Amino acid sequence: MRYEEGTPEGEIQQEVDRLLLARYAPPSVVIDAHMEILSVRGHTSPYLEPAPGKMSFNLFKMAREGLGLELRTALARAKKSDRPVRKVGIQLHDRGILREISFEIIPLQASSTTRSFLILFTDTSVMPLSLLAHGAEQTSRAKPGTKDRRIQQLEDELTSRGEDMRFIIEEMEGANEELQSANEEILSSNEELQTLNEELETSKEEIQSTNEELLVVNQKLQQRNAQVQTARAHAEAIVETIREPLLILDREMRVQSANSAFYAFFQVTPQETEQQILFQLGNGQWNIPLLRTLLEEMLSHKHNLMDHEVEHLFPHIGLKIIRLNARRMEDDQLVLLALEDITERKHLEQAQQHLMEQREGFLGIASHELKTPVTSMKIYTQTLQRRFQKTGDEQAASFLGKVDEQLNVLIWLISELLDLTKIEAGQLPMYQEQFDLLTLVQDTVETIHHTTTRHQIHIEGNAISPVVADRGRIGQVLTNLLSNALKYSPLADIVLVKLYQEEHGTTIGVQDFGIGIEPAEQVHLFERFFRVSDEQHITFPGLGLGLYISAQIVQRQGGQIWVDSAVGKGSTFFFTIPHPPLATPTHSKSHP
Amino acid sequence: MKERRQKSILIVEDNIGVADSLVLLLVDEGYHVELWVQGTELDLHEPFPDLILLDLLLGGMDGQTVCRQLKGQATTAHIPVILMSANKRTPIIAQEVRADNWVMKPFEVWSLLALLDKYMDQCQFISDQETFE
Repeated sequence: MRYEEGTPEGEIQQEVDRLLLARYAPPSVVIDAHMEILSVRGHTSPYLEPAPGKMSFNLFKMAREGLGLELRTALARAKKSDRPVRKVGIQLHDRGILREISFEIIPLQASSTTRSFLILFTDTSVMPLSLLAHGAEQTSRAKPGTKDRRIQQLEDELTSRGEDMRFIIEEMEGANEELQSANEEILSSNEELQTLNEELETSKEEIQSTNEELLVVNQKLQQRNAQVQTARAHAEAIVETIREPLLILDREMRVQSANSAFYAFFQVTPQETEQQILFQLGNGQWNIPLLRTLLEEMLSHKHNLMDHEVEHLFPHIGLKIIRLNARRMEDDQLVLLALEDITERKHLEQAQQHLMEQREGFLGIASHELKTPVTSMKIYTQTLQRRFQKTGDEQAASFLGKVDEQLNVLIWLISELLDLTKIEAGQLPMYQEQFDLLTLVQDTVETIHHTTTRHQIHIEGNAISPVVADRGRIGQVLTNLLSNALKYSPLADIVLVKLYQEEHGTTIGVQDFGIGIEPAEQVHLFERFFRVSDEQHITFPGLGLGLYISAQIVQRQGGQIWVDSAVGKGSTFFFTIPHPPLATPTHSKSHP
Repeated sequence: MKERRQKSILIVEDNIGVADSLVLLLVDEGYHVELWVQGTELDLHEPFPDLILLDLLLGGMDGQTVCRQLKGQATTAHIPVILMSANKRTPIIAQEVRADNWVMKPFEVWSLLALLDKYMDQCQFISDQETFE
């Protein structure tokens, strides 16, 4: 049954408990593991009293003389065994009274974290000391039995003290060991502290050096900052000075700033421009659908705008062709838009284009118009020559033959001049076709044979596979090289044409055994207007265009041209016709 | 030689100098020569010439078109056509318009005569055939 505190029944019970405790329970104290008295019950002054000096609740300090050691040993046992320890027959001298007391130490189980003990004190007997001393004398004299018992009692006590001493010694030894190990720990801690100290010193140095580095970095940053500021000033100066109108827009196409060129060119003021949406500027003159699309695409696809041309009629300045370049800046937050007025340039280009077309037309007409009269002259000359040959007038026929030769020279010069003009205009067209190279070489050699009575031209090697090139132009190169070979080997009687079938193409070599070319001159052979002269500086007829035109023809078809020559021994001119890169021939020819 | 004299050649050429010199040459060589220099549409009648020498760049009329027309008509397709031009593309054009052969202006007389001989001989042996490709 439980009684609630505060109720009359509870108060009665508490009072009963208190009375019972006072009357029947032995005096007792509860101490903690540090020997501090936590609570006191009953009348403990016969056993404990406050010690002089600073107030202390330490059990041993408060224990009366003769009780401290007993308590200490008993507590040590109780601690160790965790069982109640009882001590009896302890004699206390108190103001002339000898009291024999006993106590019991009971470890308390209530708390698992802190250890505490209950010490119960009981008196076994009390007698005045004088009486005892007297009685002892009496008994020692009168009662040897009593004396023996006393001796026995003292021996028992001695044994018990001995045990106690041993126990204390053991405990002290244990404590000593603990102290030693604690000492060692302190030593090692000391060492650790020293190491730590050294480390701290090192860290300190490191921090100092880092600090110095930071100072340097800071200086550099300041320098950079100055540089950045200079660069910014430069950039601003450039933007202001540049003659191309520039706009800086934000993502919403609102003008953040514009340069002077913009205001000047579009005849607007900063007040009516800045912070306005681009497409609303100047009554919507910038609301050009293409521009809008381009800028939106640029921002959504994250690319820059390159060279887009917009033609637009602007209110103040008229129809302009503007080339737009735009660049995203600062994480797409800003757009730099450059507006280049290319109206003039476009007009010039168109004029240029027109001029080129006219030139092309002129070249076609010139080619036809120049060749037509010589065509009829040749037919007249040769027809007349044939008539004289039939009538046997060899002299007249021979004269006409010379006229015909001069006509050929004229034709050659005309075609060289036309070719040069076309090359200069970038209009030397090539008509690729597949053809049999050997046939072309044979045809060309046959034609050249008609112009010489001295030389024999031999063909060596064989081009088996057909080549893809401009047949007419390759024929022209061959004719040029062969006529050069005849021209520069006036004393020789043989010219060789060599064909080499190779992995990457066909190489054609034309070899003469003539005057040869100085190494210094070889370098310039394929240049425009360059002419070879022999030792006596005799110049050979021609405009000095043949090799230049030949080189242009060969190179435009992806080939190479070069010479291998020795003065006094002769020259070999080589050129290559590369195989087409997997291209199908544009034309195949079945004509003979 | 008697055979050859009967052969006829039509020259289509608008340059008087070239046309005149060609007539002189071919008459000398024993051909019957007809000349057509006008810029109007070419209208061929029987008897057809044995061969046509056709200038590519005709004033007012394109020689290529003429050649295509000739080769496109059954009655004239068999007549050998030799193109004459100063144009570098002549060999390619000749193939495109189905001309039988070509000479580049200015040419050597002997090379033209050799070509004529070749086609006249063919003409004699296979005169019934309509194409000469």
